[in-house]
Amino acid sequence: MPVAPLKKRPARPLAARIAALQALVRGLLPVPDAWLKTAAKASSKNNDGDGTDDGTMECLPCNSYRELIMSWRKAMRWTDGLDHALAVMLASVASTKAVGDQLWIKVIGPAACGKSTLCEAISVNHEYVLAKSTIRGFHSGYKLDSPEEGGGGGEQDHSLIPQIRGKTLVTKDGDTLLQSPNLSQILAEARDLYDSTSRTHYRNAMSKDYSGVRMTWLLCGTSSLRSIDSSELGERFLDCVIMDGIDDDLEDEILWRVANRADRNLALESGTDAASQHEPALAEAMQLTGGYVTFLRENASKALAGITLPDTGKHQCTRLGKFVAFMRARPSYHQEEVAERELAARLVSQHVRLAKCLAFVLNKNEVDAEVMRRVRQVALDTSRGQTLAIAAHLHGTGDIGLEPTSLAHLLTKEDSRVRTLLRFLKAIHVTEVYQPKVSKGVKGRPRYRLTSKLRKLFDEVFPQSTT
Amino acid sequence: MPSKSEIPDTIKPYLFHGVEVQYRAGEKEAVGTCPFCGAEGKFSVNVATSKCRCWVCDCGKEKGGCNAQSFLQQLWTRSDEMTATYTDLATERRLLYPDTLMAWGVCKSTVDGVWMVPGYAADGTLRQLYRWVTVKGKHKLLPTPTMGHHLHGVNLYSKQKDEVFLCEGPWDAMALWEVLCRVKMDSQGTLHETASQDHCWAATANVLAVPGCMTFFDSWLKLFRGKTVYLCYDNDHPRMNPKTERMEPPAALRGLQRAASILAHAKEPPESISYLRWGEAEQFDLQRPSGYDIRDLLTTP
Repeated sequence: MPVAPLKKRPARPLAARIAALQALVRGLLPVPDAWLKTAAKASSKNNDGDGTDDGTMECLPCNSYRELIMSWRKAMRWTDGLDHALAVMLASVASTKAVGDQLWIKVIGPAACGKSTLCEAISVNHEYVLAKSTIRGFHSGYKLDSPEEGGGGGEQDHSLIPQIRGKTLVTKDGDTLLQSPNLSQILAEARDLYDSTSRTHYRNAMSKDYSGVRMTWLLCGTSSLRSIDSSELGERFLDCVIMDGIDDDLEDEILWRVANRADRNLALESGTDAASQHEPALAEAMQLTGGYVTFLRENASKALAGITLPDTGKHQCTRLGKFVAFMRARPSYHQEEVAERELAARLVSQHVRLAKCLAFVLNKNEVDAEVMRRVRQVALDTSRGQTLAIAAHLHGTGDIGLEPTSLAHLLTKEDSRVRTLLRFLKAIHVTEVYQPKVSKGVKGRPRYRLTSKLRKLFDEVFPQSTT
Repeated sequence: MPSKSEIPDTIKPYLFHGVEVQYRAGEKEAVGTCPFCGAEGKFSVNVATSKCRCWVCDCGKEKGGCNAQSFLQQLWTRSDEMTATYTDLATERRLLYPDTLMAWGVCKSTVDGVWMVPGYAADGTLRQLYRWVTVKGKHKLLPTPTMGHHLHGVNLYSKQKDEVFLCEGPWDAMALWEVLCRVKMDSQGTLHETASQDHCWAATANVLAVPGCMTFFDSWLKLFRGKTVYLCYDNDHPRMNPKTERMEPPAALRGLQRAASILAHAKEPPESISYLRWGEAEQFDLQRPSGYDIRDLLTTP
């Protein structure tokens, strides 16, 4: 960095400075009460019966992603994975009101990797975010018997839907959701809600139709959340992985910071308000995140309209969407008649939305390489699983392919399971079988290899891995 | 040569201050030239702990070793001792007296001759050294990476003084402080020049500076406990956000509101909080340029 060059300037005499100071003193005024009310509101109780807790944190104004990330860097060891996850979560929040397929995100990472902290930070904003750790379902047919009981004679709506309308639902511990006996019902109702309409009828003569329900869902948890995919209800979600495995060096570095923080925090006393439950730097980062959510939601419609997505970006989104559609396809648990995969239309739409919303979150005017890198990362996170592992191994062997037994050995899976998957992949035209010629007139054992169109798609998504 | 992002945070403070240490990925120590004695290849920084040591001059030999913060303290101590003349910087910064810079701990780095401004924690310990450099043609005070932002002027702070002026940036604070040291107020509120250190305004008023208008930490609150606080931030104009095409409130106003709010809701708040209003009706004055500050007011006709 260059040393600042010094310029010679004439000095103003002291007498003139004193006169200027006199003018300055006249400008010193007590701060207006309105400035102080903001924090007073933060410390006041907010128990108005809408289910929000007493100690709420106030959002701090923030309209720059850089400023937001700087505050997070001060608060904790900020890894690329956390940065990626926060940007994707904010993109989902920003997309809530935009017309089209909604951006529902599963945020996946090992325990204690920072998922809950990010969720709590986004949940600081109560205006646009609804945080619920457990839910029993989106609908409720509950009906009070009489108006005296306060229910208006069965007219009061106890469903979750009116509360989440136009908001982002944040479930910070999705693993507990998996244990819910209502899981299938919750996912089925969510699937119904995805296209913004939902109609129900109950046996107590209650019936409720909802339309125009725009909501986004951030579902966080460990890799167990991937089980939702295999239930054929998970294809509304895109995945975002915070941390692949646990990197030893990174873990040591984080642990060192955590130890120091724990040591420091013993000297801090928590109060009744939510902000004092965290150390000051973390509380500020969370409050700024809440403020940034407000900025995104208030400006989304105008700003998203101004963000350009070049044709190359659109093309890339179509390739990524198709790739995800192939890679997350699984044999059905419920029927064996037909093997099918989802059509990539929704995925393409979601990837395009994600690209534009990410550009908005990152304060960019167009979808550039950096944004597309993040979109691709989400696509690859969503594609993970046995299908991708099989495809990757087969892609690595090119035209030669692999025998099912060898593949099972490479994947450390049971032979029968791998054969089932290979048959399924063959049915959806991901793989094909051929018998190599061993010698004249003698053919070897059947082998599987990727179909040429899948190999081409693979090369487009992983350009460096062309064999 | 590792890229900027590959350099571990632990050695960034040393590199930022011009210490020539070579980092190679995977190695436990970054080795280079000692910034204090000049011994080549004898100064090492532990990549995991950020502790440094010179095997010639024994810097870092003391109990507990020399971490990045101790390194900043040592660098400042040696640089402060070695800085002989402040006249050039005082002239450039339009200050009346070079001694002002000395009092605020400004000094020239012994490593590469760059001017440095210290930042302090609320207890008065030196925690940060800002470097006065040119970035894209603009003078800027850049903080040592990973060491956070800290207050300026805490080294001159006295609990006995009832008033605290809080300025935006150290140069404003210095310009104000040196005038307060030479002025007293009579019963009518008129200011007069004085040479008496016991009767000048600075005898009853502290001057502190935040590194930026949006920076204010809870840990600083104890410096304002029970005091009469004057928040003197810049005259920033509202600006158009090119993204949203909406006018946004000035940064200084947002910073003022934030600082006032934190101060007012502290466990032990100040006795009163005032702010510098530049305009007739609003905090900012459109007649004056955006970014106009106390130093401009005091030092330019």
